[in-house]
Amino acid sequence: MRDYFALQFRLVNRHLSDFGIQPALGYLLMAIIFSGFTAYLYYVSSFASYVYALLALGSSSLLSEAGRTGFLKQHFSKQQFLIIRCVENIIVALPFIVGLLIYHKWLLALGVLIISAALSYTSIERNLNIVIPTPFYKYPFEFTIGFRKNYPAIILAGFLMVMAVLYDNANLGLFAVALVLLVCMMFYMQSEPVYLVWIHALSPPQFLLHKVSLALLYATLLCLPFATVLLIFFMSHAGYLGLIYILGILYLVTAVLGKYAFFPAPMNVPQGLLMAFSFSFPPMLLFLLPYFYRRSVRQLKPVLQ
Amino acid sequence: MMHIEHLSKSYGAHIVLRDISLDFEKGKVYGIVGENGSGKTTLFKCIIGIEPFHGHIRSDYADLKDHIGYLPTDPYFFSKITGREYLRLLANARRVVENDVDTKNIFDLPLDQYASNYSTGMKKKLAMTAILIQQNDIYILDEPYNGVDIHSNMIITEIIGRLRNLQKTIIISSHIFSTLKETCDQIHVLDQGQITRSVGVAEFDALETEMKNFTVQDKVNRLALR
Repeated sequence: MRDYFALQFRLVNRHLSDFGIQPALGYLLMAIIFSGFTAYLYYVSSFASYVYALLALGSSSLLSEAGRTGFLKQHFSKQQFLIIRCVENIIVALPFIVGLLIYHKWLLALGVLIISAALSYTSIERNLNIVIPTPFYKYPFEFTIGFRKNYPAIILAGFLMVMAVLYDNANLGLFAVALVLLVCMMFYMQSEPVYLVWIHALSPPQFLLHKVSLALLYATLLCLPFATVLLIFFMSHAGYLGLIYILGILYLVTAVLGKYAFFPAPMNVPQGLLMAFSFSFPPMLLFLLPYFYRRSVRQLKPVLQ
Repeated sequence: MMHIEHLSKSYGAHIVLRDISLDFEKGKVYGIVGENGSGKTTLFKCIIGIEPFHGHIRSDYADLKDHIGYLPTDPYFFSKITGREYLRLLANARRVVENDVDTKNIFDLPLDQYASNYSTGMKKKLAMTAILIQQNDIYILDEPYNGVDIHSNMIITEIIGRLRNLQKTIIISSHIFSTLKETCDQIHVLDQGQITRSVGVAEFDALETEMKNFTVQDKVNRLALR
């Protein structure tokens, strides 16, 4: 069992190294980002604790994937299997438990701990052949796949919007719109194989224009119901909505161009840091967008021409 | 027409392809045979332009890559994309409008299921259908028979024949010599990155016998089976 956990630790370190970051620095960055996210969540919503608890359980349940649990059952005794599953579930939930304790949510923290441990008995078949319908089927693939993989986040945004209306909290509604746009950005984090770029009969600028246009169209479609509700109930916040939409769209375009700026390699640390920095300093986009565009054209040229 | 002139490819000090020169004509089917690691897939990747190389490839087309349909050995499928959406993705990429995918689903694939859940053979057939829908002029098929059932095997052979009649150029790699014998007009033998032999239909049987005697038997003899 000790070997198993040592191997898991090495795997996480390898992922961080592959991402181009020193593991120790990676853990520190993750802690800072997680703390920032926690503080922001509690700042914008009075339901933060429940959202937080759900995120904790959602993260733990990711480890219950059937193929993974099947592999562990095959190679470890029943007792070892349960200990491993219980320990890793609690490790994943631990940052959330600590967060809940800091905000004095004792019962919720205990609940997350117990349910996370109980989840070690579950095995979830995620590879079900149930096809989730998507409005983005016509022009695959980023939004088609992204929607199917991230629909719980869209549902969460919908839930936040309902809460915003019920409790007359415009900020929560604006956060829901920002969350939808952030989720759209996530669709562009995965780089496709060279073959799936090569198939396009387009020049690099045409290819980028095609990708950006689709991203803008589909992101707007996804935001539309949220924006409509927000405008109906919080018309006075239309200016803020416009600002969030424009900024979100600019970040989305940056994500699309960023994906191809280092193609076929995935996003690396300098690129990630540049993007992260642009979140705290939006004028940075004025430099990032043309920089990523020029790089993308250069990287795509050998594949598309 | 497509001409490959003095094509060489290396990864650092490791030379994968050495000075390959080949001609591919319209209405002909070409086979490339060679052991695993002989350089077949690398040669295909160089031809389609996703691997840099030394040498030249000339053709009748100004934008050669947009006329090639490439079937990879292991076609890649994202985890949440259906067969139908994959076909749409490849058709859109070549600006082909295809509204009757079901009629063209000649392998009877479950198009509304996730392609990543397909078997090896079904994936191959889906990728094959996609490049056929694109209506290409040159087809490069890397192991088209790999994992495919016997009926589909026959369909693929028939498709290759029809494409030849339509004056398309087809290049195939296969480990199943009988399929090459049945479909090809010429077979090139690739050995350690070099074209060591090129034979026409009349010499296919001799090549097969030679490969059996030398390549297969000689190696199996080394096992000293008792």
